[in-house]
Amino acid sequence: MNPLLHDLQKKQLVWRAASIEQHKERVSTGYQTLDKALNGGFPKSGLVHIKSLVGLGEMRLVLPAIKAQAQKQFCAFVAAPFLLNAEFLIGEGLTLDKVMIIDITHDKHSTEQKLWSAEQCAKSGACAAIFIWHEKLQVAQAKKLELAAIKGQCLIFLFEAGKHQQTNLPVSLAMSLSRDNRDQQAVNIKVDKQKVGWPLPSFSVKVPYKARMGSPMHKRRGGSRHTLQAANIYALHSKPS
Amino acid sequence: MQFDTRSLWIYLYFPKLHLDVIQRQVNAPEQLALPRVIYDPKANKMLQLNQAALEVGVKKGMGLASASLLCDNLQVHEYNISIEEKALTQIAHQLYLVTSDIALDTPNGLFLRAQNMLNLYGGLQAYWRVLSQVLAKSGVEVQFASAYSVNVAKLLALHKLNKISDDKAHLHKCLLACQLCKTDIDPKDQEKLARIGIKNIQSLFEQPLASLASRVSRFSINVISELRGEAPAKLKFYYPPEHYHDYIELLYDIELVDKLLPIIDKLLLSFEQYLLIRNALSLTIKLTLHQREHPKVEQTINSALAIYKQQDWLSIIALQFEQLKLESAVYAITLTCPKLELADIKNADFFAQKGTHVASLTLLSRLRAKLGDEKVRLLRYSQDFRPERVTQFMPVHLNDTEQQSTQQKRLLSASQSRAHALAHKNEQRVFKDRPGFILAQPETLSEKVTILNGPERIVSGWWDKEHIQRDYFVAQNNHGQQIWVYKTPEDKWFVHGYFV
Repeated sequence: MNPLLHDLQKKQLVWRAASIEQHKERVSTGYQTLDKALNGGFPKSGLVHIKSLVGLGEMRLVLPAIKAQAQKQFCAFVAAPFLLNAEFLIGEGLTLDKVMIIDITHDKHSTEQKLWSAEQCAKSGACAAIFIWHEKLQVAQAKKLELAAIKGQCLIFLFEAGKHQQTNLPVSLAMSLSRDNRDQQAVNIKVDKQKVGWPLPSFSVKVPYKARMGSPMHKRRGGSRHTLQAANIYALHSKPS
Repeated sequence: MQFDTRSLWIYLYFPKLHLDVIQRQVNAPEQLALPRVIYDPKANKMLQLNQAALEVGVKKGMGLASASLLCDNLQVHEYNISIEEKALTQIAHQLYLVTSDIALDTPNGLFLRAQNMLNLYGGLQAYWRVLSQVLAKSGVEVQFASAYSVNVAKLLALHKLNKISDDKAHLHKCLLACQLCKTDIDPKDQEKLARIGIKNIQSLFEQPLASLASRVSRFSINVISELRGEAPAKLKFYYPPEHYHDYIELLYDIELVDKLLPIIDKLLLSFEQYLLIRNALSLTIKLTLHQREHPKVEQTINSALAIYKQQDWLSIIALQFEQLKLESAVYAITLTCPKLELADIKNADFFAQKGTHVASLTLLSRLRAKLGDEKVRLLRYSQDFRPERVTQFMPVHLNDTEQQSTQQKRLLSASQSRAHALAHKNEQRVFKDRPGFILAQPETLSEKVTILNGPERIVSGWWDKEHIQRDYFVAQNNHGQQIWVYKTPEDKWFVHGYFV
């Protein structure tokens, strides 16, 4: 074998498609378009890096995938920028006694504490998914989180809102979200990196905000009364666009 | 308590208790080989010497100056009677596991009532074998003797008899050879008796008691009559304390928290053995660090899961002590456990979720130890129309929550449990269109947004003075973020949440 390739492989700096087995098992995301793009869905365990501004529907995108597992194991939310709404979490199908909120004091130890907590939660095997909000994650830190997630068989979702250009992080899946200004229902997802496939250009997935029947603006948009009654406004599955 | 004069007693004498305590803490072998003495500064006398010191030529009762002349690397420690008392209590505690009647003779003696134990152990020699095993483990030098009377046993032990037997005649013979100076008789009376030529027990017994009665004190008369076997002794027995309390004094002051951990490790090891014998676990322990120039530091260590193993406690303590700052050096550490939990049998299915339950409680303990209790929380949903009141925080349960819920289920009858389940289902009827993030303090809207949905008027809170009247809208800004905004009656717009 080429000695350079051999060297790189020993240092684990190259990844061969032949070693795809450990990443083959996927968890369906609940969105058909997304499933197709991601070769089946999210990885079973690992670090998922999502670049998006707050409020584009990023949690509504990822929560259905872990809903089943979250009934048995904890979900940890580390250093969320705002308060999490219990009503929203119940609406998404999580049980509140399996949800752990971890706040971090904003001092010089905050990064270290954040990453340590996420790593501990991941390694313990008691969590189904960990959500962490952090800017400018470094390569070594990302590697540590990825290994911890694989060891504890859970998913770590890293949300980043910053705009700066990232060097390639060793994650299982990296996506960027954006929304067209005119579009209310659909989110543009660009797969930057995935371990079992190629990076993809942006495609759009319908992640509607939920609205209740009877609100005046909704009535205006809706069709006949028959449609209004029949339509399940809480539907989440989007048809292939 | 008074006892008859026919029961067998054993006396244990520890001549070098203070020295042995210090030598136990020394780890390095070259440190052990150094000559070491315990010195009484008030009387200027050497009290206890180790083997190395004896070889150099230091003698008991020597002054400090002469001793230091003989040996230049002599390790001198000041005599502290409280250390001996504590060590004595510890030995009594260990012996309590094998023998029931123990009386403390501070500072360095123990009375054991052997008569009761003879039936249990099936003979004196078997009983003594068990005792000597326990004493060997504690690592102290001991002189022992047995006799049919309390003071006789003490006297024989002080004379280094080192033999356990129940042969009355033999014991009497040994007793007669003993010197008066080692008895408990008042020293002034001993002088008086010495002046009339009574220096050992044999000559003392030759005199009738009545003739001595007028010349010596009442206390000495009691001792003598007890020695003769004519009067019973009065003793108070030792009972082990109810709560676990352990105190260790460090050989030298330690300022760095990391260096304290190996010593805490030793404390935790004896705590683990204490728990193991009692089939108990514990949820909280308290560590007190005694600082030399500042008041003592008390740290309470909680674990979400009841544990007993030394490594489990040590990992939690290591995390909690990372933030600890010591103001001055620590010279002693105390470990107390206020409450013990019974370790109960887990009857659950082997394949049930017990594995992750233990893992989740261990995780919670570690997170709370490092970050602090307030930073790790659970959520609670409260049925209130005001959005800021919906989410409330709960501290994490300290007890085994799953066990509680199974107990609860067992206690509820069938109809009660049905009602309970129905109420629980009703509780979960939530508004499904609420945003994922709620801002703790609503911010004023500062950018141009497009309204997608609304309005939804919430008027609430007139009963507890937090009256709100807001029109909520779902809006989207230029970047595509979906925001929950509201308008007050004064036409002011605020941002209250994000649809994550």
